[in-house]
Amino acid sequence: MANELIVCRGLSKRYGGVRALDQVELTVGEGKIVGLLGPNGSGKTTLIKLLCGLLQPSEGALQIAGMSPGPATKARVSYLPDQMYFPDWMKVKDLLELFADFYADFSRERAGQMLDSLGIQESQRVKTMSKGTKEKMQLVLVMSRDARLYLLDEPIAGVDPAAREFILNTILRNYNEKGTVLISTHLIGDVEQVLDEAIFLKAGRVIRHEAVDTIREQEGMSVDALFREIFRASV
Amino acid sequence: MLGKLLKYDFRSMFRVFLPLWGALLAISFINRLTLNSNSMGIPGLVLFIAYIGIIFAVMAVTLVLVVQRFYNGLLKSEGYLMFTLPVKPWQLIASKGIAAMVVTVLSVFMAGLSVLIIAQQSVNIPPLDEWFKGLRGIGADGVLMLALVVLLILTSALVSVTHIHASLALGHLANSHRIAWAVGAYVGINMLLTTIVGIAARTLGRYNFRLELDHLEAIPLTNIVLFALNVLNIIQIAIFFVTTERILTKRLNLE
Repeated sequence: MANELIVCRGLSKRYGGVRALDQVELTVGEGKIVGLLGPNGSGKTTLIKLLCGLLQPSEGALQIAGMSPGPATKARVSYLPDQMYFPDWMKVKDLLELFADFYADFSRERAGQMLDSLGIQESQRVKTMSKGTKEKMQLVLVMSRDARLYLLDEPIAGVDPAAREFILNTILRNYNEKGTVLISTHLIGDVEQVLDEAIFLKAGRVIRHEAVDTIREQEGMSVDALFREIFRASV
Repeated sequence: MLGKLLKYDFRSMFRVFLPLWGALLAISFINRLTLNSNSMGIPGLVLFIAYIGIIFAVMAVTLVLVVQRFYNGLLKSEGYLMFTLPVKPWQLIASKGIAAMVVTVLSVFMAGLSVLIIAQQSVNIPPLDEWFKGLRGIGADGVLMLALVVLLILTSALVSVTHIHASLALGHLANSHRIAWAVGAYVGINMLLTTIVGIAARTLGRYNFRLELDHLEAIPLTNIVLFALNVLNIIQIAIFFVTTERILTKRLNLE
């Protein structure tokens, strides 16, 4: 199919003897907001890191826009990790310059406007920022790209409700609508309203991948309620 | 893309080294003045100790930063940023290697310069134009020798840097205790190289490998040795670089 953005075939990842992902078969199309849903340790971060090229598969293959992970896919993927990843010594303006230098789809103007609205100065050093400010700045940089694929790893974990609202609004206002947003989370209630599709991961396996409307119709319950039912023992 | 990567690697290095080199040269000048006044006294002694301290600091910081910029910059959380940039792994490694080589050579140069600043009064170093006059007199072989010496300094620095990088990459293959494995890899590579050099020397000695060099004069003979040392350095750099590149391309696992 022409609009297949992510294709995983028999994708597995082992850490030593532990299988973090097990024979994942997955196809995700373009122009969607997709929830990658599962409890801690279900393989969400591993799948995202494989898509970014930060991990190498133990078995199987994956493609983004028809290509294996490499410089060409990285130019199209905007990744928000689940941890701080900017060098401490850099100032905000260094990071803006770095993103503009390497990503042709980065809008410095959009990033500048968002940083202004947050009161973050370009002369501010990353080291001096609070954890919350760093997280917001990371999100601003990642969402200032017109990427084909946004991989957002736990963007709303461990933040207060106000910050959660800011994060979701920033994502929804800024993503490239022709692209796909893959949001990994175990806090389904907060993101359910914005999702087109949901992928359920359990112990490294995709156990369900469907449109959220179909899930609601078939199950007669919200995705959040279904999630709680499936993962009752492990959440 | 390599040029863009170098811009950020040099920035991260120079923000530490420029103040350090500045302090080294400043203390050298102050020491020169106090030594010159023939009245060392306690302040002079303190300055001299500070000077020795700063020379060691420059060397230690150089080593630490070469390790840290590669380990933290590529194999820890900053690696999430660097390995998601649309560049090839060899470009990331080359950028780290070139930046580390340049600061290593500059650190040695600054240490040498500071010794010259202090020693200038007592050793009577000739002015620069005398050096150039001397260069003109040494002929083509002499110029070639100088070029080979400069190249040897650069390749030797790059051998040290790529050796460290390859060891860190080998350590990255382990599931845990990666730093300990990297130290083990560094020592292991050293032992392997020493063994290879020992075997090569014994083999050459056994076959009385003399290459009819006796008729050559001192400078051409030195040039042959310098050329051979450069070739050996370049072979080591290539092996270390390819090892690092293969590991970070095929076995990268940022957990």
